[in-house]
Amino acid sequence: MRVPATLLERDLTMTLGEREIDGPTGDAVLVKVEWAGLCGSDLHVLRSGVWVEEWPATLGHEVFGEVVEAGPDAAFAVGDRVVLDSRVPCLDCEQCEKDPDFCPNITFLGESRPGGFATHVLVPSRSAHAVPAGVQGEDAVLAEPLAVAFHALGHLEGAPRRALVLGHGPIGALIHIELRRRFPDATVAVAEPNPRRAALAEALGATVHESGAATGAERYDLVVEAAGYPNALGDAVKAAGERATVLAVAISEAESRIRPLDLVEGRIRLIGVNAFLTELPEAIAAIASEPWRYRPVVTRAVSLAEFPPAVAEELRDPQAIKLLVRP
Amino acid sequence: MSQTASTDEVTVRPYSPGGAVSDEPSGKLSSNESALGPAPAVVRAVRDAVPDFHHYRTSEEFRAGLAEDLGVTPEQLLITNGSDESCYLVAFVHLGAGATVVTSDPPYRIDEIVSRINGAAVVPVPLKDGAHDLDRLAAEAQDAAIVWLPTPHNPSGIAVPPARLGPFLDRVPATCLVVLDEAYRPFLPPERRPDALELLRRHPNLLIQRSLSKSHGLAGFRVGYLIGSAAQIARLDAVRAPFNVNAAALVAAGAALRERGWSDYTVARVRDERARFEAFLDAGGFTYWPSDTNFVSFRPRDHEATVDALAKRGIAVRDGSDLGLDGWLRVTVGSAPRMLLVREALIEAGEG
Ligand SMILES: Cc1ncc(COP(=O)(O)O)c(C=O)c1O
Ligand SMILES: [Zn+2]
Repeated sequence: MRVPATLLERDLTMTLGEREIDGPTGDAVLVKVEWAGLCGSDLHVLRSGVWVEEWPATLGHEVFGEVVEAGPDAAFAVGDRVVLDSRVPCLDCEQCEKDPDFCPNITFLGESRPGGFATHVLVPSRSAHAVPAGVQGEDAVLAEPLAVAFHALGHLEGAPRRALVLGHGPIGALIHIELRRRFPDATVAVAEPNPRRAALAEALGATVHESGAATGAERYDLVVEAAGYPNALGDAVKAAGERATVLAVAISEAESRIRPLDLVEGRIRLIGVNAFLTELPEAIAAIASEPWRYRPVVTRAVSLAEFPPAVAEELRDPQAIKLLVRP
Repeated sequence: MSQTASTDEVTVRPYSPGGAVSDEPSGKLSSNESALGPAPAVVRAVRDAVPDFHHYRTSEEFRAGLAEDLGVTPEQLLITNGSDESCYLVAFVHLGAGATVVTSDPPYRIDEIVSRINGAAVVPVPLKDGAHDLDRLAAEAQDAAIVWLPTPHNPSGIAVPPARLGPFLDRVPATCLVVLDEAYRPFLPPERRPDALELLRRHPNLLIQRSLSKSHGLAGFRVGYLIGSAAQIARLDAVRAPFNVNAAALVAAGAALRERGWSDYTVARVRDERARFEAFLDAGGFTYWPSDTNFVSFRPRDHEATVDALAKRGIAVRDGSDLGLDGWLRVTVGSAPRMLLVREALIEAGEG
């Protein structure tokens, strides 16, 4: 069937159009998208065109919706409310035979196949997770980015006492919120120049610095690099104290300068963190039990028709923390 | 509309709280509650304090901290069970059969109700384009015991320009109390917030009522306060119940005042969404009152279709007929996703 969808063309213009979506066969389900979230990685694709396998693309990998058609072998029934797993394992490699969560050839919904910035999206059953009754869709749609935050913080070996988060976009903010929940006695500092994003950091109780290059003399035992500006990782390592953990989360091609001696002498653990593995169900459960913790990151919601111009605004001058679209 | 009643034959249209049309909490846009709720640090403080709740707790400590924040003495403050309790106490102390009060029409209902319960006659002064008609309010105040003056006003959302308050108070006789209800004060931009304490220094008949329900997300805890002269406050303090604000509410309020960033963020989010909604109303040519609060009152063209389209999306708003605004709807500024649904509903109802 033909459904309204955003179309990202090879010249990186995004328009509202239509695309053909097959009905579900096998274990596939057709999901009517109720809310989809704009991710920092979508902005990266919108700027660069990387990762897209077929043009025009329909991006969108943070999706909440309702199953409206189910294939004969589907694990879901019509009417089930689900959030989607953004990861598309190849299902063709040795690892996928054992556990596709760890597929080395992983691609993402919206890049290798049509995603959620459309009224409907078709996915295999393994890509959908049930949302408990009573959870609001606009809360549940945060599960995918929250799983990224969970995965990042899963790398910690102990409770941080002083944390620094560079960048308070959606992922930085969710990591901040999660730090507060897990380590309520830790102090958190945030570097974020954008006043709206900084306002949320302050609301959550952080000391806010305007720049990651000027966070003062304090040394942190956890530094999360979720900003991605040029030399952000250099700033992160500089702010890291003895035996600190530095988590590189931002999707960025901007280079950083790091003095190996700083890593060596500080015995710093520098870890690159990509997406998530098994954390999506935990993230759904966390939202189900305390949705109020996560709601403050949603700062704008638009219709599908309003979405392309809203995204263009975000590309020019990021203002939202989490922008949701309701196709 | 005005009526005199003796205490044994009071006729009061009782207050009916805003309802819900679904079990999705974010869809309840009928009572001007906060979309974000209390600060996470408030939740933590209250949870941690529960084991102490076998003790009675007075509001002394909270009052002292608040006095310092505000730059008044503790004796100038009364901590109340929701700011509405102020209305009950003020009316109880200052009204009786034969007394007259002045409100705008439509009023914030609680002030009207407490006045009638206490036997007073209510003189309603129609709003002018949603704004208080200060000239007429001052004229009617000459023989009145109280002028109830919410600013920004509910249900209009419109505030008195601060420069007009002084001259208004100059015209009200010293024998008439003016209760400035500032429940929505934090939603005003700072430069349009009245210098309430300066007004208080010059007008001992002024009482200032505030609330932690809206900007601090504590509506269900019920915490507000009243600022006045020490003499006025002492009279009201003498008649309140001993532990009028419960321990959980006091813990929540104490933590909430420390979390200034949270209320600032709550207000900023309301202002963003309100601006988007008012731009939508402008584009659709709706009649509405530009608001300085966390709600907007507007007049839909097809009332029933609009209410239905909202309800279909799990959204409850306040019907104007509850508020003295027949044909209007009052919508609380909710979360960004819910305000999108509100706009969507208006479009579906043929409104947008
Ligand atoms: C003008 C006005 N005053 C007071 C209140 C009630 O505040 P509280 O919850 O503190 O009693 C409201 C709540 O809607 C209001 O609109
Ligand atoms: Zn694989």
